[in-house]
Amino acid sequence: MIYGQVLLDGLIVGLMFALVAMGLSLIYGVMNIVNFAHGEFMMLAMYFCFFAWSLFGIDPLVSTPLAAVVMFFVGVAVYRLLIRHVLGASMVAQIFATFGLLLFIQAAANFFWKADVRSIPTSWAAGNFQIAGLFFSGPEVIAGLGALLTAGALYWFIHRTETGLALQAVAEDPQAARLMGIDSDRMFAIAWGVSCAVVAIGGGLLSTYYAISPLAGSRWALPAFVAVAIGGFGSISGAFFGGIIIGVVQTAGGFFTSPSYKLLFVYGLYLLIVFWRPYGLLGRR
Amino acid sequence: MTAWLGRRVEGLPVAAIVVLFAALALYPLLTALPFWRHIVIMSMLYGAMGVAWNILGGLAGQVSFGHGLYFGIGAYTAAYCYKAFGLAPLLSVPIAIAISTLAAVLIGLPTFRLRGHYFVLASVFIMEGIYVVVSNWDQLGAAIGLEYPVYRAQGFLDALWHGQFPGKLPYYYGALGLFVLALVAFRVIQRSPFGMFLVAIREEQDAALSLGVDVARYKLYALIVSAAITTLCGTFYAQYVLYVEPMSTVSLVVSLEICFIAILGGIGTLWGPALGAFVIVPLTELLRAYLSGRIALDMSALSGGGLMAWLEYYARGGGGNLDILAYGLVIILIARFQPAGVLGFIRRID
Amino acid sequence: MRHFAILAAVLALAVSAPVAAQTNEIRIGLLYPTSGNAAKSGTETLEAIKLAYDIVNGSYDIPLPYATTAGLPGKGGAKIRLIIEDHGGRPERAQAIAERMITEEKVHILQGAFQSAVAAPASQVAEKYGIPFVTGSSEAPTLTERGFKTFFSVTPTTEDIARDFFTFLEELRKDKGVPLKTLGVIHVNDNWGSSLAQAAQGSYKKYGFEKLTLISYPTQTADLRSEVLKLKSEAPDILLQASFDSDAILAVRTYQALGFTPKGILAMGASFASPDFMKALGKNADYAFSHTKFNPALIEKRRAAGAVNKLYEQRTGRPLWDAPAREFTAALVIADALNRAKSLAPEDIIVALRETNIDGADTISPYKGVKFNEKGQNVLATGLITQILDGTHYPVWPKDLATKPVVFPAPGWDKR
Repeated sequence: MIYGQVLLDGLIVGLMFALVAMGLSLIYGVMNIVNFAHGEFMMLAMYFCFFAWSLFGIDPLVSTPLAAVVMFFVGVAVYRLLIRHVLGASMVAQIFATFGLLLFIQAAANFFWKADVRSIPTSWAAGNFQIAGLFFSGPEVIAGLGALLTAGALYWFIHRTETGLALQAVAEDPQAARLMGIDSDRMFAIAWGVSCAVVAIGGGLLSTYYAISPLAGSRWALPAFVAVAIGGFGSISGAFFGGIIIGVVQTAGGFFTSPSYKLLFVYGLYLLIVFWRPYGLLGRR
Repeated sequence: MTAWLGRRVEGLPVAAIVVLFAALALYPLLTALPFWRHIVIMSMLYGAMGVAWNILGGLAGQVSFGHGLYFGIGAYTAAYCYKAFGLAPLLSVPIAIAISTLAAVLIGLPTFRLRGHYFVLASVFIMEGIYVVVSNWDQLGAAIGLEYPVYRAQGFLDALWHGQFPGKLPYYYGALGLFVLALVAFRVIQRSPFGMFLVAIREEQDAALSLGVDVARYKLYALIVSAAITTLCGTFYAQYVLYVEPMSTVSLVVSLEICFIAILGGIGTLWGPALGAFVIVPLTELLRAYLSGRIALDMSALSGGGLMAWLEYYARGGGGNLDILAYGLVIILIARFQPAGVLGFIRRID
Repeated sequence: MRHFAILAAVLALAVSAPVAAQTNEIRIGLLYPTSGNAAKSGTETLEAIKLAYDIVNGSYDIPLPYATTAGLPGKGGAKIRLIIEDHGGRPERAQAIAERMITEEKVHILQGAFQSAVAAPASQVAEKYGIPFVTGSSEAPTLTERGFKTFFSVTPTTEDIARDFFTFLEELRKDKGVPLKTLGVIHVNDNWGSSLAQAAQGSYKKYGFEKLTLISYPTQTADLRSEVLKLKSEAPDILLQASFDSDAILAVRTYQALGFTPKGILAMGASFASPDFMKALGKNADYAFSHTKFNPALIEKRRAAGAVNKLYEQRTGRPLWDAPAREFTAALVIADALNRAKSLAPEDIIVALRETNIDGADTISPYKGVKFNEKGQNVLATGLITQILDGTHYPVWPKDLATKPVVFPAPGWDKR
């Protein structure tokens, strides 16, 4: 019985990791940049939903799509103002750029909103229930379903829409894509926008039950990076499965040995996989 | 003689170098105030670590976010051996270097097969993993860490044995020594065939491989040297602060501080990290000393609310973190406008 | 030439002005975190300290010593000036900050530091220079065990906290006739949380507990599921917890979600008593116990608590709570010693601190009083155990400060 619960819990937390990981993977796939500030966009979305609730009484499930739209444009703005200018620079400069962004956004959140922990205590997504002896938490189940839906939507977008295919083309071969008339600059901006929108949905869903603070985003970001590394950079489905795997491994590993070491299982798994497949399970160079 | 003085070491004439280091050596005479000596001690320490990191990150092009491990090895070995065996910290140095070399090999062998971002991330995950291990390791004090018993030495030799000096001067010259050591090591490597191989690996690893360069081995050597110097700095740190705990030694935060100094100053160059350290460290310390205390107190005592109160709140410091905000902004600006770092600015003016 | 003279005059004035201001003022150096994990506690603590010294400096109608007089009467009405710096939780900064405050700002006394890992090196520096260091918030027992001449701790240590918990549990066993055999401890894996774990580990057997389940979680964890599942499978009777705000909220939510119901949760520190916690959890916060050093209900036994709480709320928009209140009291202890000291020389201030003898009723804290032993530890320091009932927390222990009876064991999550 406990195995079932552990698996369930791992899946639920894994779905959220997956959601964060997918946006990360998208940006890398399209333009070879690791966005270290990824978690911070999630945090911004959480604050957006919080203020929407505390100032206007809007339920976070309703403000989540709004947050996604807002963060889409934030992502595009970040691309236009900063990322576009470091595309041709060295990897080091690119790492730098997004890392500086991480520090800046976190410190700005602290500056404007202080280090207080905020919560949204009421929401349609509340209440816990049990099925067959397994414990479910209402908000988390909804968040998990939301993550699943968003993953599906993202997958559909990438593989079934023209823009998505254009993104894939740019990811495959930027030169060829240009020759085919695809504006890579526009594609990059879209990739950033979509990535931020996806992670914003994660933030919005989390805001229904998770404590919001300036450091909230980075807690989800680090495991998400491992998820992308395991699943394979540039592969959205890889990132998705990577997230699920990380969630399950972390929860199971922590439970069956000691929770203090739960992260070691994650990092250990990463090392094992990377030994065997340096670019991740589904990654490509 | 004048011809020799006029020769340049990476753009800087020898005469200038002599003057700069003489100034550095004589600086403590300028001020007896500990804070100002402390700033330079930390600048030199971080400079040494930045230069050491640069051997792997700049010359060989392998950007590692995991150097906190080697720093921590130096610090923890010194602290543990002193507390458990009463071993003089200076004598713990060979042990620490042995451990860090072993660690370098164990980590380098699997991860050097990875390229670019993959290598960077691998170093992040390994660093975080080590943090989990150390912060749960009871012998090393786990999350609490190891605190040195305060020792009042009688005389210089006694202080040297226990590694605790009452004044700042011995620490100052110790740090200066480390700084010079790192620079010399870097320069020697930079001008040697070994150094040229490293550059070749950085620029065109595949071409180097096809020419028969033992890429894996050279990367490993670079890491071992880089790690050893960083470990020495860790030992120094332990004796300077007398409190060793995971977050300030074997953490990602420390690793990032080290490599940002190198990158900000000028990756791949001799003087870059030194410059970076002497810009960042004083800036951070001074910003914190004079800006960090500006948090908004008495919020509601402000002009009755409304827009003016809101503005005043932020002008008075808002929720704090102004120094980190500035730091992040500076990093972004450098990445955006001058990735060659501060040295890049200077070279352009040249 | 005339411009030069004017410039010289202005410069001379500028240089001389700060010197003139220093003669009748007392400088206190404050080291607290306003960045990093403990930023919120640090910032609010600074607010409370500033309030305390404002009360001393100004004239207020509050039943506290030094409130009605402006400045320190024993020092000719001298005012206190604060020098503040953020240490961000980094021990290596502690040293530099303390040294700068002592050698450049010439502070008469240091107050800090919240995190014990920072208080340790900072107070080492103070000891070296012979400058007194007072803490109202750093709880590691090792701090006073060092036997420094200059270090004074007004707050109870983590061992005192564990002792309070276990004494309280002993009483519960007797009063409620509920057998309590197994103990669980969940803590954040940092200096503070680990000290609680250590203290519990050291004494649980002495107080009649047979099994201890110790769970620590990483500081930046995204979720607590494996931790709670583990706790659930061990099913301890009582849970001791040391968490920060975000984790505290996450933990209780996860307990509810996974159906983990210990008979009682006892939290160390402020997180379970903070307004954020109660706002976030609503009914689910009920019945949890906190070991705290302040509660507004103390007004019944501590005359000034209500007035101070009101002032604090006016300044910050939030009610006073554990962390800031402790240092508020420490600040007044400092003011008292400064007032009594023969002079502002460090040795005289230290002598005055040693002779401190303040009655608990003259503070806003639940301490029986303030009196330091030869190691600098306040031997009259006790905590308060409060219980959250209907969204407010009330003192329930020690009995002489209790305002409501204990509700124990806690009802299940779905019965609230």
